[in-house]
Amino acid sequence: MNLDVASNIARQSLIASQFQIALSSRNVAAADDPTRSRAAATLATTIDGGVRIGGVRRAEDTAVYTRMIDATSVTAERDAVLQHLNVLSELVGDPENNTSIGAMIGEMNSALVDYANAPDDPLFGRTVIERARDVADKLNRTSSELLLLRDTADSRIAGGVDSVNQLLLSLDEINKNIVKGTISGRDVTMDLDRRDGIVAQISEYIGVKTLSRSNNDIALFTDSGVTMYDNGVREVSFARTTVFTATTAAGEVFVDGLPITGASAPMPAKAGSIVGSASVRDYIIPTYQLQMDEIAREITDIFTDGVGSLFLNGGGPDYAGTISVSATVDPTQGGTVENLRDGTGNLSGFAGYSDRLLSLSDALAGTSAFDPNTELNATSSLLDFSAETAGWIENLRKSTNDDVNAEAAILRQSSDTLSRATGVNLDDEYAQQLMIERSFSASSKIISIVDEMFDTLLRIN
Amino acid sequence: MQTSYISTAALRNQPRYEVQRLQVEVSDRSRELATSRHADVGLTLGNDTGRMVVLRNEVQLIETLMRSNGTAAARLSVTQAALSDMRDNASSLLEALVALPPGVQAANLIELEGLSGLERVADRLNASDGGSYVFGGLNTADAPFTRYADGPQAVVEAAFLARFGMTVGSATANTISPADMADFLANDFSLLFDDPGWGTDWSSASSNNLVSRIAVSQRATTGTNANEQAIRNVVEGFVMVAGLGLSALSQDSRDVVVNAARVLIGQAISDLAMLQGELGFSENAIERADQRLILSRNLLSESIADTEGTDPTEAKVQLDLLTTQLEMSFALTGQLSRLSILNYA
Repeated sequence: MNLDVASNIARQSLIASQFQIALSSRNVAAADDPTRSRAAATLATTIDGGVRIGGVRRAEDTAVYTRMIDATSVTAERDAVLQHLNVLSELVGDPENNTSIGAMIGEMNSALVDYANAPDDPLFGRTVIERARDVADKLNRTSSELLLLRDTADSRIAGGVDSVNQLLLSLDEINKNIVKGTISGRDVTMDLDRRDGIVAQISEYIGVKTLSRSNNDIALFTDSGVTMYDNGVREVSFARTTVFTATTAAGEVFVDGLPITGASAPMPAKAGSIVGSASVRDYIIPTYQLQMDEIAREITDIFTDGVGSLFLNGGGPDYAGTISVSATVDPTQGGTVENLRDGTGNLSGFAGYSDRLLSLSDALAGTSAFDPNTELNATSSLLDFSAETAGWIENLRKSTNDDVNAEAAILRQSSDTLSRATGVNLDDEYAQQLMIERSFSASSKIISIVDEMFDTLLRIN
Repeated sequence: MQTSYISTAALRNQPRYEVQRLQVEVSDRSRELATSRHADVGLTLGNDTGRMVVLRNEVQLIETLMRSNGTAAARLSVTQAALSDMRDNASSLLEALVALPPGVQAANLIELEGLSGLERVADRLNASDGGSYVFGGLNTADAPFTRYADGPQAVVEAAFLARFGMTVGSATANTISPADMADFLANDFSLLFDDPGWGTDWSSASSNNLVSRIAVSQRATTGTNANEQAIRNVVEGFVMVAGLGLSALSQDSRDVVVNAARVLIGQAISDLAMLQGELGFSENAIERADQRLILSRNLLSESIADTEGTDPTEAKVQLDLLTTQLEMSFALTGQLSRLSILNYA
């Protein structure tokens, strides 16, 4: 041991302190970025008993991180569904305002009963025709609105797929950097943070699972197990549907050549906003559309009777989009409301003939048969069936909203836990900086003491 | 390594999430306080939204039925008034017939009374209620009864001519024997008031009565028609007195006609009362249906209010609680942001 060693150790300590204060300042700068984690230097002992920086370690908690990623995708999926359902529920409206198709058919039924009880008054007949026009308009508008919503969902899928592809390219770049850096012993903690951030972003679109490998390399799979990234990007592809009609079967999302959405997918993805939009596009809207079509078909059938037919439609499957008030009963199209009253029954042409109107109103309240794929009671009255469509949407919205609230709570909790585990505490950082400062001044002091000792030594000589 | 650690972001964000949630709640509760209904009815009720639509439809149907029941009740009371008047009319003729003294002078007078009574009957049978003829049966668009002078008179006189070879009121009418007259009244004359003669000469009413829906699944007959036997009898009785030239007949033949008219009109009066009774049943049914409709409308409205509504008191209490929480949350956020080592080191 000699003074050179003492000076050398003090010098090593100064360098270590500087490195530590630099890391601490990086931590302080990252305090408000939720994707960054706290970095700490590990100190190692040198051969002469001094210190050196052994490496940089970041605070991480893989279990919590995985839970956060899962919660992100599930929340994104439910949220995508909820956003569409909120738009759909606008079609239903508040029950108080009688804007749902069920309420409109109810109003038409009331007008029909009014007319049946005063069949000689054409004004009541006009009211029935106007209410029928409301019903037909509502079905037409709903039908075109649903096509528009399918289109919106489709474009969201397309947007999501584009983003995922972009993110996968960034992931590829950064992952290669990490592997190279790890092999060459460089500090890769910042890149690791960025990679975690990118994976979290991808998980908003598609639920993912990661597999860690040596040298900090990762492979990325969808939550159903289709490879998205493994030593290179696998393409996510999607063909946008340009025009939606009643019979359009929309395109599916492919990852690595395998469909991950739709009924034909062997390994369908479970979460993420793309999956949410796809289920709205392929299941929720088509089911609601089918309900509207069934209403349009049945209401046309009920009122069909020669010149007395109240509605016309263009046939299946697009009943709701093509339903209209028949010209023979509509005074504004040159018909007469008496045709509606009489149908083909009133042979004597009596003004007080109400048999048809009474039986029509009975038919609206009587049992009809509907397509079982509507998910509503397939044998119920048209009045009940059309009212239940509002319940179906609102029920879906309610349960999805509950899911979103629950999942968002889980997401918030896991983000919070992750932030607690890996984030930066400014107060703690500052306290550490004070300690580093002390150590730095002590080491500096040693250097000046050694210097003085050398001086003393040299003066004696 | 610290045993417990919290990042500054986690510490600061915690109250922020709470503030957001509380503010949404405050907005919803104040809306509930203002409207006494759930802030988002569809979201709160879910599947029950469909039931609410059904209930509202039922309330609307009930209100429609109550309104059209009002119309039906008005029609029935117009009909009842007409029938009562016809009955009074027939009664006074019957009184006059019973007390009819012999002689041409009295016969002249009763003939005139019969004629004006017949006009009154026609007027009553053509009574209308807001544009629809109440005695038309289903044919509410046409006046159901043809005035005596506008056709039926010619038919009656033609029948008279065909039977007796002379016109009504001719100078030789006193040669008609009572037996011939009785036979004429029972056959040729009576035939004019049966179908199809009645339908072609007198009435354009439909024999089918108006049927109305008076409750959700109840129907009732809410009208009558001019083809009812009671009305035919009244008209036949009046025509006997007014249209057969009573004053020109021999006293014996006149007695035959007067007796036949007395029997017919007496029968008609009790038939009219029966008809009024039947319509009374319908009026009764409407009244009871209305009571039931009011009852079920109230129940349904209550059910809607119960399901869609909120308790304003509860909303107010919750609002107060939320406001306190929000204030505490704000205070906490401020305090946490002031809590920094930089203020002490």
